[in-house]
Amino acid sequence: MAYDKPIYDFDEEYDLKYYKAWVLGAQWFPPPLVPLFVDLHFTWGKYGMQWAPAMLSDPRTKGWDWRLRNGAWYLSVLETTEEERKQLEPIWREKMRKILENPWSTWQDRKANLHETLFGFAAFDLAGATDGELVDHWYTIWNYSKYVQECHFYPMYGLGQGNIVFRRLLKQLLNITPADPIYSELHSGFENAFTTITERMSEVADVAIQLGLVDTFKTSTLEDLLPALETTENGRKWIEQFDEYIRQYGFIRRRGMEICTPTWWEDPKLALADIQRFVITGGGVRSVESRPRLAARRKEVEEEVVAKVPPEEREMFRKLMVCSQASSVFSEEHTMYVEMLAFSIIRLAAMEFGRRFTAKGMLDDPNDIMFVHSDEIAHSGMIQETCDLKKMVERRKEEYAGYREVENTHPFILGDPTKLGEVVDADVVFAVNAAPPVAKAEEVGATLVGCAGAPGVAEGEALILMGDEDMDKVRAGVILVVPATTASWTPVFNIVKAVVTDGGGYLTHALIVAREFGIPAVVGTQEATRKIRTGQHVKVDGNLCRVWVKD
Amino acid sequence: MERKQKIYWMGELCREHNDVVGKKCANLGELASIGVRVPKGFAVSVHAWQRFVEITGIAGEMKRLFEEEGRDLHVPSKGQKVSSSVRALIEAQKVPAEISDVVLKSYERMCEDTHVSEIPVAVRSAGAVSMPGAMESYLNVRGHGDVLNKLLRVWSSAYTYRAVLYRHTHNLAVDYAPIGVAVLQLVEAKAAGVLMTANPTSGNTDEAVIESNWGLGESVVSGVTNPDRFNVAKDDLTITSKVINKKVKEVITREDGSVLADVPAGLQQMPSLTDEEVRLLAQESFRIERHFGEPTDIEWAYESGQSLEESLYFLQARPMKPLPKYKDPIDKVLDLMLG
Repeated sequence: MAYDKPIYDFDEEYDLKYYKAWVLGAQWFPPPLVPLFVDLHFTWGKYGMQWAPAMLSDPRTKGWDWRLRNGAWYLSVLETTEEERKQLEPIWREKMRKILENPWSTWQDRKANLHETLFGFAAFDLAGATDGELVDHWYTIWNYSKYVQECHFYPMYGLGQGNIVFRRLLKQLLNITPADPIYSELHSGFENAFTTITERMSEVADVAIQLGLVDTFKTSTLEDLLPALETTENGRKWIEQFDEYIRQYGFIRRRGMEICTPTWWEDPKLALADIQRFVITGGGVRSVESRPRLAARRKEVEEEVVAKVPPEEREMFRKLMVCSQASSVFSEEHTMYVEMLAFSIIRLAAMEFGRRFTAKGMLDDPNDIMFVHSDEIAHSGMIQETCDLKKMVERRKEEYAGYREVENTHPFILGDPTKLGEVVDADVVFAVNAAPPVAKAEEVGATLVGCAGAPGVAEGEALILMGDEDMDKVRAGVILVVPATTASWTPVFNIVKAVVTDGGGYLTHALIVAREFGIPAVVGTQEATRKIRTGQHVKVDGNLCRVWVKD
Repeated sequence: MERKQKIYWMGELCREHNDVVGKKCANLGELASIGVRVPKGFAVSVHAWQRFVEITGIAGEMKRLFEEEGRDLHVPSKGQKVSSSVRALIEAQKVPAEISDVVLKSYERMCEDTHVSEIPVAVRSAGAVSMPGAMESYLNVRGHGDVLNKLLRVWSSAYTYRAVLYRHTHNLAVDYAPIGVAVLQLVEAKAAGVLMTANPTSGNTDEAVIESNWGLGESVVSGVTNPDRFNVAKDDLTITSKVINKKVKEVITREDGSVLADVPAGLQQMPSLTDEEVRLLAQESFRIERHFGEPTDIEWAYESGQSLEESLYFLQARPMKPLPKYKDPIDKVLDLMLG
């Protein structure tokens, strides 16, 4: 059962009656989620993704729905009825018109609000707060998560529709598919907050190279690195820069859609590992070098493409193109605020409770707070002595251990797999998560076919990694094969040759970041991690969305 | 108005005078009557053409030449033969004194008014129906002999094969083609082109579209170059779009007329109009549109070396072709989203 929340459990009979097909949330799984994150995300994330279509009066969809099945997440879409559609359409047109008139502000205005408030929360003195102040803070940030998810899903629906329809229009008018390099060129060369963090990281790595510390980085293990740097003056100079970097960007965690892994603030070595890889591979970051070129190329391609559109459709085409581009930037950038900053603030407060509860003997370990729900934390927060959370935690940990055992056995689709296309059509934004492959692998003679690609062709040795906890196994020059990547994988794109994912759709992280870093990617292959083995020689063609195993 | 005059000054005309002086002259007169700047000049009337045919006695010969080929005018070899015979016949005539006297007297007056001896003028055809591109116009015409010579050539251009074929296929009399001729002060255009008071591709009537190139407007009308494009909002004259193209060729005046020339390299990628020029042009054009009460297709030119207001001339104004039904681009996007 879903950690004492049966409402989230997948019902084999009922849930297949109302929904055509369910898709594994491969971006966020495995490993299974901990109870506190299930509580956070199913309370506010699920709220947001149904609130946004409701507030936009979306005539077709009531948004996404979620279930847990043996610890794995599945998503589907609930369609509106014909009658609802008629009633909603005029209202939706008025609201969407405002978004289309100025697509960039839809996200940028919300981002500015989030930035100010969330960094304000980050400055809250957790250790110095009384129990009462801490509970007060907890409710403030928990309830603010409502607004965070509204900021997340309003642009996702408002702009995401633009992206999906633009994709269709390109196909219809100009026979350009999302796998075509032109599609990528139209959507690359934009700055986004996440790439900035990686670029700043590469600057910190460059400082180490300039200070003559490369040998120290090469010969030290991650554990020894900081102590080794402490012994020299240049090393200490560099550590000052590193500390400043962590102070600014320490809200980053390895896993985006989860809160059980530490932030860089808690464990700066996580960032140090990325930086060490940068220093050893010679510094520099691909996106910095490629962005001006990509931005210039984008402007050229925009004009070339528009010139091919019939004159009477050009104005419409441009409106849609801008919306699609804004959606692509939002898609990547929102993760910094929603999945990183906002979730890290929840995590840090929860960990403070964890420490206090452990000191009072209510928990065995501060990390066990991840197995307690929000209302239970608040309930125990001010009169701590009266509550023993251990039994509850023990039961949920057993449940979690059971889920870990089956984590690589989940089907990609529940229900009728041929209905995936219909699900995607009903809720166009759903295509962010999943979309059918562009061709059948056996028909085109490839091992795997994805639903979208980042342009380019690469060959090399495959490295299969099943989750964020494996990230440090990445080596330069490999073809990375993963269930999915999240924002914290961004630095890895600087050193690998290509990326292949099981999950993902048209706006998936791996695709957007690969374009910015100028490396090929194929996403949405559904089974790359099962069909490819580490060490095999593979060829990835991002232009055709195809992958071949060569031996 | 006395309908038997052989020439009329632009200020004497309005759009009622289509049949008297041809459409182009009547429209220019109409523009002048509402205070829009048009080039100084006069119209040689349809009546003058009729007198020319009577005095020279060529009507019978023209009729005979056409009857020779009968109904086969649509066969290019035959139609073209008639056309060139008739044109040669007209051009072989001398302009009768009763016409040449008033024409040259009026030309003299233009020279006196502007203090320019042998002022360069444009001699343009003005048919009662518009046949775009079928008849001829001559630029940079100077002096008595040249004016009379070009007058004959414009008259004969009513018998170009295109013009003949147009009348033939529209069941109009092929051999009888009275036209007016405009004799206008030549505008030394720095930049020129066309303006549509509505967007001809989208059908949007809330904006004007300007196409502009260096030199005379002929390069824009004929499409030999890729002109600059400006879109201007009707309500507040905001320039909503500005596309500056590389303009390789322009039409300029030479001693012996006009020629297609290379645009100097330094100007090819420069905007051919300033924002102020765009706005003034749009403002005046919207005034013309309000007067005519329908979307209008306008030819204009900016002369060099004058103040902004004094350098703008309007050369032509006529109703636009029927517009496509306008649909707001955002509504189109929303329709697509609903699938």
